Amino acid sequence: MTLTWWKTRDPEEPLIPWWVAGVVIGLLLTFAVAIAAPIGMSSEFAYTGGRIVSLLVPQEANNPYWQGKLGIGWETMLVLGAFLGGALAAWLVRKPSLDIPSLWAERFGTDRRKRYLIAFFGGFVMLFGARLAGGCTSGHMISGVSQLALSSFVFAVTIFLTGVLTAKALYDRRRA
Amino acid sequence: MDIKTLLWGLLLGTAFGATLSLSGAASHRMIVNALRLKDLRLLKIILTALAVGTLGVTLLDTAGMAHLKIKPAYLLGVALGGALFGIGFALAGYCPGTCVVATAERKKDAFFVLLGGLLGATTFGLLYPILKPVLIDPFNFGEVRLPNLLGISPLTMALVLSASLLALAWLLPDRVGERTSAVSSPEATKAA
Repeated sequence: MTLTWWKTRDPEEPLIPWWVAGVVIGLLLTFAVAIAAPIGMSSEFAYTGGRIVSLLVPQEANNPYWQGKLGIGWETMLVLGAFLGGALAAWLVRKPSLDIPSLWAERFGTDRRKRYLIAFFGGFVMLFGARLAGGCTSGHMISGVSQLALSSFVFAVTIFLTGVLTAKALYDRRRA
Repeated sequence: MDIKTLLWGLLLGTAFGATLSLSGAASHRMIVNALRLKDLRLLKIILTALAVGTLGVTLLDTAGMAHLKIKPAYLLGVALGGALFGIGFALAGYCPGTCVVATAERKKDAFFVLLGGLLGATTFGLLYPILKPVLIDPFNFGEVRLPNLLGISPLTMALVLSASLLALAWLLPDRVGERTSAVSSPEATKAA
């Protein structure tokens, strides 16, 4: 295992070993649960949307889904922090920017509109699913399984199944 | 929530985002190759995080110091939502947290995942009053934890689970099969 600090020019390769990342994330979760609440990322997507919709259609502020949750909360800070942390890390290690992921370009070419359209569609389906299930990779999988919640084990198994099937269908099927 | 806790949240989020960035967990190639079961490093990150997290959270809980938030087990909605999530995850190549981090890293496609995600989550919120009686109320078993279901103590389960996850993370290889991710230079993919 080699540390490639400061050297990599590939924005898609790791700079720290997997076990360091795993231990740090586990400790961060433990710290979060000690001071306030578990880590979650997807609910803030809905609350941000709720803020925008409530501005346009005031009675939507009474939607039971986000009523009383449109202020700045724990998840708001986590998401803002995640953005700051990503920007800070990328700046510190001089991570180059990226227009189209390498794997996508190899398989589907370098048409930007095509990639951005699928990215948008994928994001839509993913967050709709996350809100239906009640969490995402951080909220359900990392935080939920750590709390030994039944629903989070169900979530982890289903995303693994459909995620693997979809990725295989997209990237490992021979072109006719 | 008081301002001090909120600031801790910001700091914690920053450490979380930086870790996701540095570990490559916010990399499309690493995520997709993990789902193709070719590059298992992301899986190993998750397994290790779960091992440490499960033990940490359960120890806190045993000491009466944990702020738990158990997600209710409405099995139909959770399974259907998880199935949709997996499909979107493979198409997007980022998860909700990592699309935020990758956007901050100036990965342009991740910004579109973020925008689509904003619309998807908002759409769910708007449809919630209609969907709740159909997908969330039926088969809702409430805040069920596995140790209660299995009739064992949370600490016992956490110890067994953490040890197994850690062993699995250590035993799994970093990569499976041939090196499929041709390491192409970022310049080549930027040429679009």
